[in-house]
Amino acid sequence: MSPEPSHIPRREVTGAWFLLLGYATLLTGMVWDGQWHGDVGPDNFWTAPHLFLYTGTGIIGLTCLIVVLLSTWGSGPATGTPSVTVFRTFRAPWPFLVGGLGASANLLYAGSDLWWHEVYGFDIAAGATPSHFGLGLSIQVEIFAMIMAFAVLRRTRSERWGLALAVGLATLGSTSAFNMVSELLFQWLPGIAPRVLGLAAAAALILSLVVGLTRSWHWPAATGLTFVLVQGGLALFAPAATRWYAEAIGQPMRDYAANLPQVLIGFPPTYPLVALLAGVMTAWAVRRGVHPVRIAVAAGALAGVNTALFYGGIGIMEMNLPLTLVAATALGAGMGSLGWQSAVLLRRFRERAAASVPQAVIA
Amino acid sequence: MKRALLIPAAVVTLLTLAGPAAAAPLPGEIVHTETVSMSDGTPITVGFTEWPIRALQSLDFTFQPAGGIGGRTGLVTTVSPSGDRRGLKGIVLQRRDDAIVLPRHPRAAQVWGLDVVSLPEEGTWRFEFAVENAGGTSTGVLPIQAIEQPGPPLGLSWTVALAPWAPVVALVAVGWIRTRAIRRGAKPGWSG
Repeated sequence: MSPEPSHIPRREVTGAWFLLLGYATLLTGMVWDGQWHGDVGPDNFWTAPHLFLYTGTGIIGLTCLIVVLLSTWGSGPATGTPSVTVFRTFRAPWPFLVGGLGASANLLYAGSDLWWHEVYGFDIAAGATPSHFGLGLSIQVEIFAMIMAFAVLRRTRSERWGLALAVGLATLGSTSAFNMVSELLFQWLPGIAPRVLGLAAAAALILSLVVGLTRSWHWPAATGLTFVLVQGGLALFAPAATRWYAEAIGQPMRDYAANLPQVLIGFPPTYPLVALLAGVMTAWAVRRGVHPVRIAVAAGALAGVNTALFYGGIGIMEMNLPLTLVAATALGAGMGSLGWQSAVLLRRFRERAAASVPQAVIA
Repeated sequence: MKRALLIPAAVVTLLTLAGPAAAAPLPGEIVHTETVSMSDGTPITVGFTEWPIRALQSLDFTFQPAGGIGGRTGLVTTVSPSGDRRGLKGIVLQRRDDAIVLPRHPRAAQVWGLDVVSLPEEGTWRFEFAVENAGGTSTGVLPIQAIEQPGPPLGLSWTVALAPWAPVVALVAVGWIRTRAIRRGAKPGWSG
């Protein structure tokens, strides 16, 4: 009954789910770490949230290594996923090459971060440090690898839900790198909060990527649902885990620790409405035959509007709302176009995977 | 005889009871103290877990007004050498305008304190204190010198950290340009 030949080896399917597990672990550690710094404070290399971060990265790195080794020396037909030969020996499918490089970079920057904290101590309030910047970018590469791994699949319902879950995690998880890059690029803009631009760009890119990749109304809407699960789950987990862990290791909570979930202000909880609206727009466009790129751009712009209005509303960032709204909408639309074009490339990845089956069988 | 025993016993009891309130906070951690004269004559003892203070290096501060913190609200405005009145940044600091509303120190609840914070700029900082109680507000100022930051110059650290991304950006840019025809030539259909 399967409409597609099984041209993607099992190791890559299992590998994609392990990338998802690894990144979910990493993100849990990251959100918990943020909550810990706010509510309790002191930490060291071995605190529990940090162990989640390392474990997540470890799972991603080992998964990529194993998939590459099996692709190189395993039996059975060659993979249809576009691959590269590394050091004239190793056959690496692109998603797992990217993930492996991200995890390796993450490890190197973690080492440099340890040195940084030894020299400067554990204050992270002064802004992004060079090692945190490198960590954020490396983790973003791991996020892209996870999305690529699922973008190649999408054959069965569970694989498509895997993509939706990966996108839900990626949307929340992209805050760190996009915020840091945005602060680097847009700090000089008067009246505009660079973090709003960063979060708008992340939301717009990923939402339009899903629209372009799946080209159906179900999956943008489904990513809204998975986002609720991810953000809601972490909002319940992080404050409770922080309180429990502080008690367990005998650390007092800070005087003004409200123990409220920081993850709810780290990314607009109103985002699922935008994802749902993107689904509605897609359904309408399919019926009317409107060009998908217009919907991708509109979804991106909408993500920008939502981000600016949310942060303007809760008032935790200094900004001129009309100016920030215009900038976030324009950037969102631009990222929408970028997301669409990235989706075109990723779809081609999958088409090439399908097209290469006969060759792989002949070989 | 009984009275002779009672007096030392009372002294010991008094010392024991008074001990914790008068004890210096964070024993073994505070390496230096400074005293700030306040306008109402009630000095504040400021404790530091690092001395001298190096720019960008984390430390804890304790602030102990004579007579304790009970019934008082402490405010400190941290003015950086370049004049930023919110010079000391923190992820969860409570503020009233530019001033930080002083919390109790997490590990020394009998005093106010800031834990794991850093002074990001080299030079002379001004800590402007205001203590509010039922009788009014007293003020005082403490200049604090932050010496040169530890480690290599920041520019070098940033260059080393960012350099590996230059080839990545170049590769992505080349890939993006080379796939232009594919991106432009995509079919606009809705079939997924």
